[in-house]
Amino acid sequence: MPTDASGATSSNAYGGLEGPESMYLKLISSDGHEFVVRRDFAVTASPTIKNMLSGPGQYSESQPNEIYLKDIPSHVLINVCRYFAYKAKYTNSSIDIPEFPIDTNVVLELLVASDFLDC
Amino acid sequence: MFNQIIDQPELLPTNQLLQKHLNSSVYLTNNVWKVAFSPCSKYLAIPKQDIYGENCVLVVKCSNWNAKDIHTADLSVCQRFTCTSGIWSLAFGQRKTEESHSHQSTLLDPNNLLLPKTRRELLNRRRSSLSVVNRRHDFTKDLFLAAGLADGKINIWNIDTGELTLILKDHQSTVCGLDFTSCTMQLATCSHDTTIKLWDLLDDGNMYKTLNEWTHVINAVKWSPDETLLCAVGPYELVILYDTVTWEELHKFEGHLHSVVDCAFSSDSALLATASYDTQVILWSTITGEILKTFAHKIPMPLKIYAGGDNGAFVRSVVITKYNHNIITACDDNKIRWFSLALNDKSRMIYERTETNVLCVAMTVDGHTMAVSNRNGEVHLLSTLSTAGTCHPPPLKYFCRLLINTSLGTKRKEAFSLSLSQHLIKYLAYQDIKTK
Repeated sequence: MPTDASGATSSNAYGGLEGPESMYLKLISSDGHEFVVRRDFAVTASPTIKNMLSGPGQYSESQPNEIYLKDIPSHVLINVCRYFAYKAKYTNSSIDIPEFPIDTNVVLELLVASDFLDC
Repeated sequence: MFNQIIDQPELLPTNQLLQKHLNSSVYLTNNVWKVAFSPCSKYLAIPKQDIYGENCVLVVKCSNWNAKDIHTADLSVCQRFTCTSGIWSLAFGQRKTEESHSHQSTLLDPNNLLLPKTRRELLNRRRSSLSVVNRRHDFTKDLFLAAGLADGKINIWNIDTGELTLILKDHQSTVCGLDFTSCTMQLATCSHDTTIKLWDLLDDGNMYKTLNEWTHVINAVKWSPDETLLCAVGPYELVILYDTVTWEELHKFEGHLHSVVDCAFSSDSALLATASYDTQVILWSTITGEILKTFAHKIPMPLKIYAGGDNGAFVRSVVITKYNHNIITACDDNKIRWFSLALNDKSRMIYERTETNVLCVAMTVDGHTMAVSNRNGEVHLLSTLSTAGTCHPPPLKYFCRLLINTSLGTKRKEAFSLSLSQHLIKYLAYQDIKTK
């Protein structure tokens, strides 16, 4: 089984959470839920997350690949993670891009979160 | 904001098939003032005149206008309807049942369920006891095409069965504009007899209101996609927005210098683009009533005396594309232009294409295809899939804005009282694209 070059443990093909070039990131919401997302999806979609990871050391998350988003509750952060996947799937796509579904109950908080994350 | 990949919009292979049907020697080269796509994006209606002097509407059906291979594309003329006089306006209408009806009230005030928030809700309430069994015609299921004629009549055909279902006779003169609402089969028509009439087709075509305040023709009427606003445009720089529940005048927009001939709403009803003979297309905010952007078609801008008169660059038609990325306009200087709405403060054009004597642009609801008609009786099909902005999904903020603006409905002025920061409220009101 081929090993994944980016920080994988020896026998599986999935990337892990270790090291500076890990395949995944952990986003932690204000109420403690942990969301594991692909690093490349999150970094291309949100410049804020990219800055948090590569910033000049003031964000100490850069090593453990964990980002604490203390202003974003979990019911909002889950939609943000879904958006990262949607964006990665449909960027440079030649097929029709469908509308991203959002629930009306979370849309106001989601607007605030997306403004913070600039995505 | 987005990385723009500017790919030229191209003539589709299905365009050739369409030309074969249209150019047959049976038809005269008439001015094709208006073409219309159906809400399901499968049908295109084109008015033509044949050599015996008969006016007809051709309905062309194609399941995929963007098909790459001509031989598998099934473009065909599925109906040909004849009319008693010249056709000035066309629109398709189909009843759509509400899927997510509950979202209207939760956004602002969950307790305030007394006032009807949109026309749709008002009608549903009034109509809860009426059933289709008591009606003479059933407009609830099929796709219908309405055509406004020069003698003041409005013909409504059922596309699936091909029968002339109803003729609405009330206007005294040419019906030059008509529009269906997106879901509830309300028809607004405007005419050379200086009135706007509103018809409820689910009530057997009952004309329930006439707006009668002018002494000049009204060029076009359009419903907003959420059915809360009706826009009417006409000569003497008239642009008016009505609230469709109370029928009061919400805004009277000042800014054009000549007759205004076409208008288009954005998908969340927060933006209104109006096209005028003064060579400009102006983008207004329906929330604040101010001008956000102007798009010039003649550079340098003509002096007022020419803007208000004959300047050779009348803008005839405007559409806003899906997700409000671009505006496409047709101008008398034989060009179709694409302007970007997403770029911040440049109102500059991103693409232009020559089309002699162009009259009308129309887009499919799914945003893939556009049709362009001209005075030589031709209609061309272009692909809009790869033009700027459509290769990348819009930002999440964008989708949130669309949803919030759509849910606000008639309470859109209350956007300012939402518990958000000033910066976000300005974003909701599209202040970020306003020309500084």
